[in-house]
Amino acid sequence: MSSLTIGLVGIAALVVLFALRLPIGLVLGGVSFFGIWTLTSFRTAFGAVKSIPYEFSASWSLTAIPMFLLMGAIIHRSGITEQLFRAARLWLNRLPGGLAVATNFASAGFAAASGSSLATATAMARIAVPEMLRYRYDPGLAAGVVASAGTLGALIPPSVMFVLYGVFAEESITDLMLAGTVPGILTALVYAAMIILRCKRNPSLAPRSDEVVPLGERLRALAGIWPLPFLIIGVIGGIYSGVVSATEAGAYGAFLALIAAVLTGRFRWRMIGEAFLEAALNTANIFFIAIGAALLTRFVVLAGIPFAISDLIDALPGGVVPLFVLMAVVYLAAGMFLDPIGIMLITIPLFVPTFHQMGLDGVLMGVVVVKFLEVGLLTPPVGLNVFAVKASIDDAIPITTIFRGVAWFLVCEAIIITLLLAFPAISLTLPALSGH
Amino acid sequence: MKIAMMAAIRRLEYVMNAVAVASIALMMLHIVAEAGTRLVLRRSLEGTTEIVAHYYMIGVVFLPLLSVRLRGRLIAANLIDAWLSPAADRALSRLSDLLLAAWFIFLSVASTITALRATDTSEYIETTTGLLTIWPSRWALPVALSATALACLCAIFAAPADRSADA
Amino acid sequence: AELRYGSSQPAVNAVYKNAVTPFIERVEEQSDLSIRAYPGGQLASAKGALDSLRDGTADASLLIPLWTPSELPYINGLMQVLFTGDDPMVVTAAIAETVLLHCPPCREEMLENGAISLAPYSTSPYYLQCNKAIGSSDDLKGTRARVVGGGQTRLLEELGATRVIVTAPEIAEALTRNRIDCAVAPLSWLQSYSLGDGVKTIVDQPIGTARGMEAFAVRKESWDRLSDAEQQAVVKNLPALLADIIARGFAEEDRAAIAFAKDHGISFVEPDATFTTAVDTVRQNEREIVMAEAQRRGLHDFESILDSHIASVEKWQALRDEIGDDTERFNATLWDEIYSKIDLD
Ligand code: NA
Ligand code: NA
Repeated sequence: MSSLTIGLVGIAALVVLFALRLPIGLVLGGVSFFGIWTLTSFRTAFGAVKSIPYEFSASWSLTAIPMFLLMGAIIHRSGITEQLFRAARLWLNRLPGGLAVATNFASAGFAAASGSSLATATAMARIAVPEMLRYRYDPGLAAGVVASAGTLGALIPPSVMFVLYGVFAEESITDLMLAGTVPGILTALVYAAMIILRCKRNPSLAPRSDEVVPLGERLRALAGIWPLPFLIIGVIGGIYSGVVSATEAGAYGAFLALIAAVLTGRFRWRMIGEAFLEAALNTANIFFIAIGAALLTRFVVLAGIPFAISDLIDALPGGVVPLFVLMAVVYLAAGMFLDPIGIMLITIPLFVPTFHQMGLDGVLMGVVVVKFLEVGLLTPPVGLNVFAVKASIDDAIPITTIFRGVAWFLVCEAIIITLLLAFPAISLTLPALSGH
Repeated sequence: MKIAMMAAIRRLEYVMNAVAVASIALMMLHIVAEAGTRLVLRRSLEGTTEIVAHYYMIGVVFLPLLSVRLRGRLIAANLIDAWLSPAADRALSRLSDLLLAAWFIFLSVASTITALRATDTSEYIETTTGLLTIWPSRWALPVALSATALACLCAIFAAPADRSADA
Repeated sequence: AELRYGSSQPAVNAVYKNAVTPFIERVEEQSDLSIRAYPGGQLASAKGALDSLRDGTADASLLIPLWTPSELPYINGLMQVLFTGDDPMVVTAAIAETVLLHCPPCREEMLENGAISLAPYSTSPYYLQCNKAIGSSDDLKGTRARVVGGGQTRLLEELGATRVIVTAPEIAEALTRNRIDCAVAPLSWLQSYSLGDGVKTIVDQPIGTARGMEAFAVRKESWDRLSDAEQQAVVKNLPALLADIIARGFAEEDRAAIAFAKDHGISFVEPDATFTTAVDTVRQNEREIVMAEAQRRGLHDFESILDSHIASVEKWQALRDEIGDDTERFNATLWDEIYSKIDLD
């Protein structure tokens, strides 16, 4: 068997084993181990298993994930979010899918404080999904909006993905982050429009109550929500004033959340202990999968898939459209199974020189690539954002239901990516205005 | 015997969760302290990024795995649940635990070898001003992974009724 | 035979693109070897490079020993030397001579990890790069700076600055948000790590080079599998690899960085007397600093290795005057002085 065939057989094996309901992390790790063994030697496969789990986890930049998870857990456990959603419900009752729209924009706000989509999705899942379910929102919509709007975390600065892209492709990190801002906001708007349209056509997705609430009560409810803007503005302020880095912002946010819990009189040692344990359990659960995905990256590389993609690029007819089509195919396929960092490792050395050759703007293509990577977090069978939501809401919603709920957002993504490629100004105006 | 075994695993779970909670709490406090020191004293604490990555992070990523498994929360893609008979469902759960146990045992053997080597060379890493010893954190993997393997094995041999109580 | 070469450098990196890639092409042309290159950390990250050689993930690799100090203590001992020599050509030749010929423990520690050192090199110098105007050394008092380590920490003390720890990818953000005022970094980082987003002033005085990186470390088992002709094709081309790293890698990067600085209004300022005195003080004390480090790491007989390295730097400084910018001549001298003498069995 050729290396490439072994790689494809391995991927087929993944799909079959996922269907058998085996844990995702186990399947990714196990298939990669046997795949690497077949391609090289037992020693090399064993070497990957010996080194990758520790090396992958002992990472400073990934500390943002447990820390933002902790922030979300504290916010949720301290009951701050109940207040928030009560207010959102009172004020947005007339808007179809009001709570989902509110969650969508709250995610955008959270994204401006968080550097990672996984962290954004998990924190917001803990905050928003139970509240939407309480008001009998469609479970697919409730979980889908959180998983999808989580991807704003990587698009709206700060963003770990743009930092990594900037280093791998030697593009200006500041320009990339500026360029991601408008596409991020555009994404939130398109999502909101889709939610409103869907809920308008099918009101059972998001039931509305008929109660008429007096303005006084609505204002009182609004007064109770200060902790969330306090946290988001506090964290954004911390980042932009240089007190904390984007990586440190999660720890700082968790600390501020503790302070908010004290200030609102909701601090209980037991509740805080539970929040810490919950954040630790979710971290372990997500990293078990992410480590499997890191092993899979090594397998895919050794199977020669980068060289196969490189051959495809060489065989492209001229013009940008075939390149964009190939990118879409490659990123969608890779995004089905791999984690974003793995995909970046594999694809950037292949595509970036091609961007240069074709005279495409490196910053624009950075935004598009990150957008594709974020789509990969939402597609089955391995959709890390979907898993992160699933992990933090426990057994409330089946994973297939979440993937179904996400499908609508993927349709939006197709539109948004097309817009970004057709109108570079959406991304590039802000960096140009700031004089970079 | 089975009950004693389960009780031992529960105690282990409690201890490992406690260490994991301590790790995540220290991670938060240490990073906040670093930011505070920078703000007030205009300098960094020594080795913050390295200590956070090589100690707290390892504690948070691996130690809670046992508890995640005991709570039945490892993520899987439940695509075919609707078509499964109860017997097939049980069989798949056992298959899952069997393979998980095998994988975790394998991982713990691999990480034990790495940990032994690290201990042997007194593994350390470079920080801006000094050296940070990291070999002790290597041992978190074998401990956490073999405990999780044990829990999976217990789940296989426990009666179905017990199992659902555990999960 | 076929080899997998891994590098943590991005595919667009000048060293990878202009030195390593042509080297691989030459070796393939002159032998039956075929070398598949995996840039950008595809095979292994910078931290995992040594593991990848030990376990056979890679047959050859770029290696940054700084990531594995306890596995490669002697080479890391040499990496503590920052200020002895600041011409990358001189320091590269000197570190290659030291590691390949005059440091038996360096060779042993590589072998213990199943690897052989073939192409040690040095980066271009570090400079102090700040996000504000620097008129004189007084402006540096109380600034917060990110340094690499070793004597640079001492330099900051001499200048009255404090040290803040920032990882390389985070420096740009730290500079733009005023979390730090200055960073000690190679000029090329203006682009590769986006330091140009925040830097306004660069003090035009080299303050150390990082020596002891490995452009082409090979796995012992894979090396032994090669035929004599294949081994020779590799060795014969190593001097040109080192020469290209300097001439087409760093020199080009630095030229591009200087052009970038000019385009973006970043100014180079002359160091004042206080600054140069501080640098001289550190340079004079470097031996002491490095030996203290060696002691902390439990290195035996390091003094003789260090002395031989310092002698190599002086020797190549003299040779440098003869060689000038003649790359061919540099190749030939590297061959005569170093590569013709190495024993790889
Ligand atoms: Na963000
Ligand atoms: Na996916």
